[in-house]
Amino acid sequence: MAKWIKFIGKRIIYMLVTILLISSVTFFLMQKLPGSPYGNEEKITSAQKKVMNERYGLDKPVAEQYLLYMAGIARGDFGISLQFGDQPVGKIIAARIGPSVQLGIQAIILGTVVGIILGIISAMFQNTWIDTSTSLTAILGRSVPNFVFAVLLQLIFAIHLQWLPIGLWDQGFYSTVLPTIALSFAPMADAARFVRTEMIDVLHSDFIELARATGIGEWEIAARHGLRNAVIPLITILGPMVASLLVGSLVIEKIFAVPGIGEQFIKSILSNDYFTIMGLTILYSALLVAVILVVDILYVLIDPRIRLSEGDEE
Amino acid sequence: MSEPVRPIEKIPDHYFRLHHSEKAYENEAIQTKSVNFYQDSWRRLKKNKGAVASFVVLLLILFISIVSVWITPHDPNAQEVRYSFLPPKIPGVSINGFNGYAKQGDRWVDVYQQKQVPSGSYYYLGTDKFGRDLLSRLLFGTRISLLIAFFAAFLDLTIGVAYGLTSGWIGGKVDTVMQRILEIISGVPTLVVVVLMLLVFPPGIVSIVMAMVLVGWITMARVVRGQTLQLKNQEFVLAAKVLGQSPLKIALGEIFPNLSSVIIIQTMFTIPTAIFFEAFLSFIGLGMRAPSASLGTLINDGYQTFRFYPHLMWYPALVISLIMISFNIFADGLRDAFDPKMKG
Repeated sequence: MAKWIKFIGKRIIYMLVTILLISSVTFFLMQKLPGSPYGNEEKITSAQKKVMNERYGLDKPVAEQYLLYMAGIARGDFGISLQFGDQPVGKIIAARIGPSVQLGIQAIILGTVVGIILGIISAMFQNTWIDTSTSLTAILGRSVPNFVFAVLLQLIFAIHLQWLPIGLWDQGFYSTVLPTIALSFAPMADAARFVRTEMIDVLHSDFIELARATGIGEWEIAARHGLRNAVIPLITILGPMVASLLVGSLVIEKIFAVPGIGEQFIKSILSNDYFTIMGLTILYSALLVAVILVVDILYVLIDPRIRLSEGDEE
Repeated sequence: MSEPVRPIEKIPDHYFRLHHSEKAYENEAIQTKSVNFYQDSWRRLKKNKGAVASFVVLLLILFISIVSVWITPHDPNAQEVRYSFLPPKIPGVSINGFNGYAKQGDRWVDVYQQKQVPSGSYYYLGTDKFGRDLLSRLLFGTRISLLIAFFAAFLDLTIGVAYGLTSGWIGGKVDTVMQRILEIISGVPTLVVVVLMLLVFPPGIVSIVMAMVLVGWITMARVVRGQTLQLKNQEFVLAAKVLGQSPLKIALGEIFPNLSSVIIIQTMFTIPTAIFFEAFLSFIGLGMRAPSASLGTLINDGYQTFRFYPHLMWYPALVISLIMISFNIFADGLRDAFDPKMKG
């Protein structure tokens, strides 16, 4: 137990260091940003500008701003948006995180489930045309940029067939279908490829031969014995998967006009909204680091061969 | 004398046969030339039809994008607003959609005639909203995208190999510290770093490459370190040590050559990632600035007028997909060829 506390404690410390580092770097980069957050700078007088700067705390020395900002983060206060109607950044994020999380979860579930099925089928019919076509699908999923794929989906299902709405987030589940499919393509490809390799390994192992010898059918072997051994290692690629999902969600949210944090991020970047950019940057980093932590813990739980003390060799 | 001796003359003659001794030796001799690791891998790679085809496609694209420095049908940046949004027209082809005709309402109309383009001038893939020739821009953009990708992959390789080799080879405290640093950096989402860098630095090839390299080298460093740790304890390294070679020489002369296969494979996976990232950045409006074109900016431009002129988006999308697919299949093939155990 003590080992566990030490392991998790250490990981959490790294996590905090990473987040601290990112927020500091972000803060100082924001200072270097060309342009100013006031869109109509030439129209406002220097007196007005002074008032504004005072209001947002931009008149204080950089070091003081930094300390104030960091103290704010520690309290969960990310400052006030400079662009979007003076709302606190925390509030903007809270209002927009719902669609993004829903989209992300739907995409990762759809992607991994389809990927696992494809991977298993591919492995069971190794080196046949079925294998070739599923592998090709996986390569397509990894190669075709998701924004191309998203536009293709829009064209087919929204414009030509008119089955589903082309975008926006206003028709409940229906409007989530296309963005989910578009976003799930990459995790699907990763999962299919990974499960195929694992499954081929498992299907050639001795205990499967034994199961075969006892007369169990191929499908039952795959479902009962193969699946578990092939799918559990999938959690090791969950970290990279989530990272690529974050990237993907930006364009997908833009294309389908989803009111999520990805779309907000792009908007904030294009309008120099310092505090919102910083808040979202920290959020993204925290999310990724948290996923990596969970994956690491799950990994040790599942595979006892990995020693807990691995980081303690010194 | 417990066993009776069988008299030798009782064995019939036909039981005896001449022993062709020389032939036997010949059979045992190794007849094929010995193959080294790379010849062996090359042989396996050649058997992989997909990989060979992708390799040919990649060479072709590379060749075209180099040749197009000198030969393009039109100037990629020359604007001719009178001739905007022309449909593709290829000499000798009379299929609607490729002959200068476009659908207006329900009828196919010769747009070239409508816009009074002099006969004999062809835009093979049509023109964009400024009347720039899409084919020329596509050639130009492909070159920029490939350039960014190769440049980024090269820097990733250099930094990653140096870091990984140092960390793995020296080991001990140095390794621990270097790995902790790596761990902290790897918690940083690539997306965030790249976006921030591009906000701060002036847009252009160098900024995009730098932004991608900043976090991109980590995978390479990890892979190289892992491989170095494995090689470190092998006999040939021990032999070099016993013979008194300096640690630096062992690292560069003994370990580095044995890393080449993992380095090549990893690089082959880095290049398509870089191409994708560049396209992604351009698509959200942070990549190359006008009038320079890259595959990403072309797709983005095409997307703006996608409902009415879909071909402006499809052609660049097709090229980027083709490049990515070829790189991925080729990289898979290379990995299988170098490491047949890891097939998958």
